[in-house]
Amino acid sequence: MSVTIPAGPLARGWLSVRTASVKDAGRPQLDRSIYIEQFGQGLRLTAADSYLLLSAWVPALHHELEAAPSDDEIPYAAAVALDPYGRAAGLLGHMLALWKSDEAKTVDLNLVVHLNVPWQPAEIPSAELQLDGFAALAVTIEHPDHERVQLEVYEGDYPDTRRLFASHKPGRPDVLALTGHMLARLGKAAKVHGDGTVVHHRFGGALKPVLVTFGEEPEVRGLAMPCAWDLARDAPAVSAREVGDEVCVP
Amino acid sequence: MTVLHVLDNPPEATGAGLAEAMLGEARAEVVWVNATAPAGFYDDPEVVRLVWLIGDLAAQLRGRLANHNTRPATPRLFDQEEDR
Repeated sequence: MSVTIPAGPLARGWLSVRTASVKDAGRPQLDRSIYIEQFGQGLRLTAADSYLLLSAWVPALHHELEAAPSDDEIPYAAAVALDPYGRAAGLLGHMLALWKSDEAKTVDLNLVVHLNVPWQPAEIPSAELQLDGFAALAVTIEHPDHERVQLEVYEGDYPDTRRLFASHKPGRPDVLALTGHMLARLGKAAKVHGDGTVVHHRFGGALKPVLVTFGEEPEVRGLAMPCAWDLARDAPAVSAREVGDEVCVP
Repeated sequence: MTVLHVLDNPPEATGAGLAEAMLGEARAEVVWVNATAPAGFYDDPEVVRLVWLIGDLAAQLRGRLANHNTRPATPRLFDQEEDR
């Protein structure tokens, strides 16, 4: 089943969220991937590398005024789309440029997204050789009558990100440290929404994830892990293990 | 401070186990990758550990330390077991 989405919000959401996913050969579900959940009124995009998690709700066409589904709502379809070489990001970057141009004022720029459709063309020409349920699947992003990008799908589970968001409790840390690498990635994700985008931080404690929100249409929210901080020395802990493994689990 | 001294062409590999144990605890802060130690390097046995490594193990050690150093002591949001 397909969903039609205005190109601007989908492109901003995708390009912003994908900042959280990096090359990770050891965990293919996180390796330059976007986790897509499909609901009746839109898509939720999520990406993570286990240190940074970003998620955006992108409403479908004509559903822009409806509320996003709550965290306990189960999607009726989901797929981990792999975009190792930025092919989808290329299309969406192009669409975002069009969206910002004058053309968007005269033409409806929409994209159609299909989840878990058979790979086209089939890798095995004869349908007789394929077992039902074992055909290669794909996620497609289509600019109708112009271009369609087909992405491989990781056929397996994705980390339970809902639990991570739900477990965040506001707290006031004495001190909190984020690496420059983390701040740069957050900055890159926020700049997709414009140079003046404000990144709102809601702290959860010195050694707990920071809940970040930024951007509009769509708003992106995420969790960023701070460095382990040694309060006694007022310096970064030498290792995460020194402050206890329990800090790894929010 | 713990210092690892990695030599590329050692006569023996007795330090490999020690290096693995130290990396397991992620305590290495400084890495020297050269064939000769600076003057006075061995004067303090409590500070300096000399590790002899050969071939692939030395390369793996450098790679693991490089990864460790790029993310200084940042715990994960979710660990390896939970994302199966």
